[in-house]
Amino acid sequence: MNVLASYNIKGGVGKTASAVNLAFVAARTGARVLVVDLDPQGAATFYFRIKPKVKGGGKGLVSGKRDLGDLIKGTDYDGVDLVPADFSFRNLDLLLDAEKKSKKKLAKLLKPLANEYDFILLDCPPSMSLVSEAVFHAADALIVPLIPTTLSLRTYEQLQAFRAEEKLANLTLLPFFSMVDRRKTMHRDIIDRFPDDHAEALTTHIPYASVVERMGTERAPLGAFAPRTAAAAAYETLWAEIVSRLG
Amino acid sequence: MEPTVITPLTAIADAVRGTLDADAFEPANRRLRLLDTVDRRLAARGWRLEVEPIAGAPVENWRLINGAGKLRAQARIPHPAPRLADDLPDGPLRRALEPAVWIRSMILSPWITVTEDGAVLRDQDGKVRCRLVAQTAVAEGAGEQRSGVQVEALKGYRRDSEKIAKRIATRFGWSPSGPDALTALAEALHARPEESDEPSVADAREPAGPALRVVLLALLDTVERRRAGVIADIDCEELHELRVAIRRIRSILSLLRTPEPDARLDHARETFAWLGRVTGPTRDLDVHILAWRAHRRQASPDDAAALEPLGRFLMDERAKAHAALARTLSTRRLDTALARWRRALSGNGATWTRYEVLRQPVGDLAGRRILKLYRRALREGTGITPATPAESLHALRKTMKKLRYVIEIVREVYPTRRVRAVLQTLRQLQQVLGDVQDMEVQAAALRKFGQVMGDSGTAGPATLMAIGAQAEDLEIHRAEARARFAEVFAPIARPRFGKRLSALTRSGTGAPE
Repeated sequence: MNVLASYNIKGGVGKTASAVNLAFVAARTGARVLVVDLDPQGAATFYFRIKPKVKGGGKGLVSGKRDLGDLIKGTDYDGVDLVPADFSFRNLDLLLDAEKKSKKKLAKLLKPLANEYDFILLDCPPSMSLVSEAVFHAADALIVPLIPTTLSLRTYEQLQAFRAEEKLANLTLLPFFSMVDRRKTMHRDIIDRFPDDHAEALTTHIPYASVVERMGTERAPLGAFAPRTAAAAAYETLWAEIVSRLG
Repeated sequence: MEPTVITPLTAIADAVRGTLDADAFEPANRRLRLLDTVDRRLAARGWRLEVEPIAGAPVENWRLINGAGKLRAQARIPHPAPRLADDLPDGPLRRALEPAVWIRSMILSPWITVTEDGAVLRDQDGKVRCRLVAQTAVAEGAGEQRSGVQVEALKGYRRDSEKIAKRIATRFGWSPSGPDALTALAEALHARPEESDEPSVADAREPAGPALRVVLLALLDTVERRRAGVIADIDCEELHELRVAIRRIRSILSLLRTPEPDARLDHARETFAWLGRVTGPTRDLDVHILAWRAHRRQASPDDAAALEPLGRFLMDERAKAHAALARTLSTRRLDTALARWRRALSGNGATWTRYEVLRQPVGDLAGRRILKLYRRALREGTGITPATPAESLHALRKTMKKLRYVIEIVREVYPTRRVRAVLQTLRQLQQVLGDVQDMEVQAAALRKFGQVMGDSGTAGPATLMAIGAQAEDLEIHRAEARARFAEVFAPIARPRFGKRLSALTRSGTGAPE
């Protein structure tokens, strides 16, 4: 089982769209995938048309009173399951803080699912917090969507610094550009320059496309309602690249 | 009871949907085949492996479905597909299949047409809560057909599916449970008669001739069945089991030493000795291929790639050997010989008590043989030191095999736990002896193959190096096995084991233990 987290300190960069679309694509290749929606906004949960409600809330989950396995909901798509978000997840930081070995708590919760899933995709809230640290300890790799802007790159530098500071050498970083508009000079320049200093960067870019925004109205992954679009194809290529990087 | 669906499924869905919305989905047909091993390893796990062609593409879609009807893994596999999971491209499908089917070949079922009709039940957010599916699966040419209606549950929404199933039972008087039509059809198509390949005498006091005749008849059935399997080349296990049955027969024939020549028994001895010889080369190549696969699995990607030409060479040689064997096994000579042996076994019962040796209790006869073979094994094994030539270990291996087969022929007359413990101890020694000899033979054969491939230009330096490395690996394992000999022989050489064996041969015969 591989645990991947769709993560960026910055919001609105396409974390949830990536988690949902990559989960759909992975399942189409035969993998068993679980998406865990850790973001109290519950966007991934919304896309899968599932109610953002977890029995026992974040407290039940973190305290271990509820098995993560009991909270799993089947989505409408073969091979993709979801642990929905709950509004109480906004307090996950506090709940984790009250626990012993809080940074390793998430990894411990996921461990019993190792035989049931080939991939677990964590859809993370946009912040740097105790939840993020728990995610870093649980994940094998961070999939980091970056908008080709200076601010977005800055958050990536912060993430790299944090990783070094916390000695998380085993945590693979897989940054890729999302919401790319090739008509913009700045986007083209940043995309061209970024790999010079970041050999870890994935080469696939997700284009800026209105069809991705339509996921909100269709409440479905791209592959389910617009499988022949450039954006859907880009997610397929991106997934293939991620899998080859994971070895 | 299987439901007879007269009411259209959409009407059923509408009647039982409660507050959910029911959307009918378009009836769909699929044409597919199923894969499983001869011994139904996937079905035993409740799994189903579907193979569907993709129109216009040289690939097939393989879908592994688990016991809950959920997709466990899928992959697109180039056609023609490999028969072993070991040869599948790496990925979730291969990783799921390998532990289940191991080295067994996967056999295709006849073509199956599956027709599905049904409805999706959604909540107010449009989320699917469960599916109502009517399925009919028809096997082409086999005359088999299964139909059924299922309520498919989604994880986390089981209550919805239970409610729907309950409403169907209340409203229509039947229950949508049990396996789906395709699973039920798979069960029927892969059914295999439950025949034992290890028949045993049941009563130690029965006269040896009639008692062993029954066992010989069962073993002849095995030979016939496995012979067909070998000719069709279903799986390398068919040849292995054929050879085991032959050795069991020869073991019984060696028990039945009559005071004067007996044409029936002598002919059978010749036939099965010949069968043992002609099946050897193909089996040896099967073993080489299995060893090559095992080595390739552990090799680095570069070494594994360098070993590919060796695999191709071995498979070509094996194909040639198998073609020759299939011709031999299809000859009239063998038909006639086996038919003659069957007549001898099925004919006049009196001829099976003609001699004293055939009239004595089978338990006594086998018991004496067991103890005689044990004493021989002790003599052969006691003198073995690290400097003893390999031939001595080989001789001991043959004696141990004979000993084990005789015990197995009468094992049902002995107390189960005690006979199992004795066989387990013997098996440990046999494993070591087998490793010592097989590794030596395989290493020598590998070097010979390397030479042939080098001379013919079918192997480059990297392949020859990889073959050399594999041979060295085998030599190391052989040396390790050789070093374990004393450790596994010691428990058998102890007087206590001799006493256990002696007591075992007396149990079931009425003699005091």
